[in-house]
Amino acid sequence: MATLVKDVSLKQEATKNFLQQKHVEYLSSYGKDKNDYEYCMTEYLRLSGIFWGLTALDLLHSKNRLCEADIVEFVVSCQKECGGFGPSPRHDDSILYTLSAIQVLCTYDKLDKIDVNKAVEYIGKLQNEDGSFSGDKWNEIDTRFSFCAVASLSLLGRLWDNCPINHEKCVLFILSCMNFDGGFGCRPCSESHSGQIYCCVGALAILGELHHVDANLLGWWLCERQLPSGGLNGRPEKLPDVCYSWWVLSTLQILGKLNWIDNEGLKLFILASQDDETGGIADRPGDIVDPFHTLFGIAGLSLLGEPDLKQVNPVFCMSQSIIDKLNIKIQILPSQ
Amino acid sequence: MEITKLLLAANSDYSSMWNYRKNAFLHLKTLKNEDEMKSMFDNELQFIESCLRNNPKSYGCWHHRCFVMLHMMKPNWERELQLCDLFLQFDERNFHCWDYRRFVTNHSNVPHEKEIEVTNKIIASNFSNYSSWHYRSKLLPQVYPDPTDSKRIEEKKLLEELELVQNAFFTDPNDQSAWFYHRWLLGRGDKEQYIVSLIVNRSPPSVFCCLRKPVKMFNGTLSVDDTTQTVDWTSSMSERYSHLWFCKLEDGFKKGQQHTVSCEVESSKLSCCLEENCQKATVCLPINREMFQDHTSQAKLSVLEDELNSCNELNDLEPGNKWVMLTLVLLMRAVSPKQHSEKISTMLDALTEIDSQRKRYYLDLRSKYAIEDCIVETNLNENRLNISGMKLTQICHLELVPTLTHLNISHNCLQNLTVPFANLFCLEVLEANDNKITNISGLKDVPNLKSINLDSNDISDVKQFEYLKTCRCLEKLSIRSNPVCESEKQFPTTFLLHFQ
Repeated sequence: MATLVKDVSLKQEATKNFLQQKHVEYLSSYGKDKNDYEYCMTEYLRLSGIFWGLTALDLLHSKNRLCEADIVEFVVSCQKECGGFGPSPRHDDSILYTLSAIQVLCTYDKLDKIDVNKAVEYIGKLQNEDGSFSGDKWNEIDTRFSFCAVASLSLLGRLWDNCPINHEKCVLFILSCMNFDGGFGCRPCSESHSGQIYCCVGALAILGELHHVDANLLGWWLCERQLPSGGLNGRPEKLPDVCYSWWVLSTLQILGKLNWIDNEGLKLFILASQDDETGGIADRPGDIVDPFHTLFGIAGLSLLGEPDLKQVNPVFCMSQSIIDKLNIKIQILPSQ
Repeated sequence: MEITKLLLAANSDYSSMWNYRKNAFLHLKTLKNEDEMKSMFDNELQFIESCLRNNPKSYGCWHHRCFVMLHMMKPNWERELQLCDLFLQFDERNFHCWDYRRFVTNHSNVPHEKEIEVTNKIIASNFSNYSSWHYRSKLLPQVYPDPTDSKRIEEKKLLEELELVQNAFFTDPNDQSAWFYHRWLLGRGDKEQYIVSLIVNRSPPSVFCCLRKPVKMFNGTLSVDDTTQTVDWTSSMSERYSHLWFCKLEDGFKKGQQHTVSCEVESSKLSCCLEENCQKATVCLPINREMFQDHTSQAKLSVLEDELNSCNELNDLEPGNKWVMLTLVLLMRAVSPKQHSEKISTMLDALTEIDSQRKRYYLDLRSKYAIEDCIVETNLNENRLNISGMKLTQICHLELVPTLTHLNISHNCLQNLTVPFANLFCLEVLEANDNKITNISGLKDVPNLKSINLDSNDISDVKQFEYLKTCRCLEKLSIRSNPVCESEKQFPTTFLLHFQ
């Protein structure tokens, strides 16, 4: 009973060049048609969508292709009375979109346009007694929200001074989600998942607590995510997906183990997932492109040293230059 | 309510709509009687189920289901377990469903034993199910805890699990789920904290203490000649957590007298004798193999030997299987590293070929083993360590050798000296020539470093030498045969003073 390895094969003729200009065109025209069905159906995550598109363009040195004033106005209009942000003006607030809003405003250096104190207060109130974070007032708990809280406060410059959350409890909750394979899940007892691992390791990196992670054990699990095609999956026995080029690769980078996988192979997989006509990147070769996979493909290529891109920060998924400007120092384990 | 239903049927990730319904239910609860509410909640559960069938990975759907169950007067948990069974049949790896299952079992007090049975069934039908193995790793320690470590399982159960997982990888040696689980079974818990070394200075009277694990605050008990001292430990590193701690002694030492200084933390104690006519004394904990056993060593030797035999058997049946080979390496390392050293090395070499995507993982593992062997075989009280000519791709374990004055890492394959050397605060001479080093950022703040040899490396950026500015005792730096030498004119003159 041999298990079949779930994977895809790259076509010989698949593109091996990085289609920088096509991606700029794809991203800057995305959402121009406000009546497009796909566009309307994604209103519930608009703010994150804006973050994906803007950050991808920023990494492509083309931030100016979007209208800054319109975007900042939109983001500001998403802040609710409680201080948190919804994905669009008439939607409910969530810590997910609060982080996206803050990331977008940091990219434009426009944090002064919103009520920062209220946002900080909002995040503080979402921490529970056990150190975990709820996503909103409905009390869904997930380590993604722990990451959103820590990353948001760090970007707002309120993680250390005047900080409303309990760091120690926050770390203890994250550690209670650690598993036998060194990875992390959504909640205590949840299975390890690369997206969740990125959130937990990212939060620990921001908090300077990476020594809790068994970098050798987790690094081994992460490098085993690479499949013969060069692509990465998010869990054992799953298909490769370009977005894991980000979740897995950035975690490996934080742990100083980027060279534990075949960088060239992954690069070819991402490049093969580009649409050479429309621009943009899909989850895997031949599929339909979207801004989400386009950003994480581009961010992955940046980590792999693609010369046409700005350097990306492995924790915040934003240009390193923005993080430097905000003077944010995070812990990254040395890469040898 | 009907409109939000239509919207959610089209897109179940629309979380504001679920929130809208939650608000509505909370309001209705204040108006309707129990029976009316029951039927509304039942309908809602049915609606959620239809949404889940379209989108079984919707965070919002599963969370809304939790909400409904928590607000029902008499929730039918049994029915929910059946729903989980059903959804896990569609997709046995759906982590949302597994999480919901744990929510249900927690609220309805399903005994862990019963859940172990569920994983038994799933694994029996298909070994290759990572989610089930994962669940077992959480359940078994609760039902069969190891008396010494609550995160692990007792010996008898461990043996049964090893047999089960062996069945799995003998059936399909390429099934990675079984191998990850196997590695966990043979692993061990957290490393204990202990004091690696003490360094005592007579004047100014002070003590350095080095710890195995870094800590944020250190409150080790320090005593001089059996009298406990009140001391303030400070970390000498800029990191938030530190291996290295320093304190001043208020009362100091009596001139020309012998003193015994001891430090104690958790169950570890180390004592150092400052002889009457000495200015400084150093003591290192003798380092044995035990300290390096991070994985594959919890089990008794006999168990490990049995596992080794089985894996050897499998290796004969399936030559060239990377999972078998790596497990063999780990087991040989745990059973008898010395006896198997040649075979371990050959296997790791073969793995770099067979599994070339992860080549660097195997090279780093080999480097780690080589360094461990060297540390174990060196008398550290001589304060010298030679790990040259071993094809090392990484340096590790520096926190265990803080008293070194001489370190030779030359003639290896190192590309970066990025690990912090600042813990090596006695280090005077570093020989790092004949590597492929491009980056030396780890050489910041090495307080007593006098001489560095970086000949024949790949340093091309003159800025790299900026890091050495913080090594205040540096007298001699040799950088012959580096790309940077070809453009020597660019150098700041301060560095030229030290050139050989």
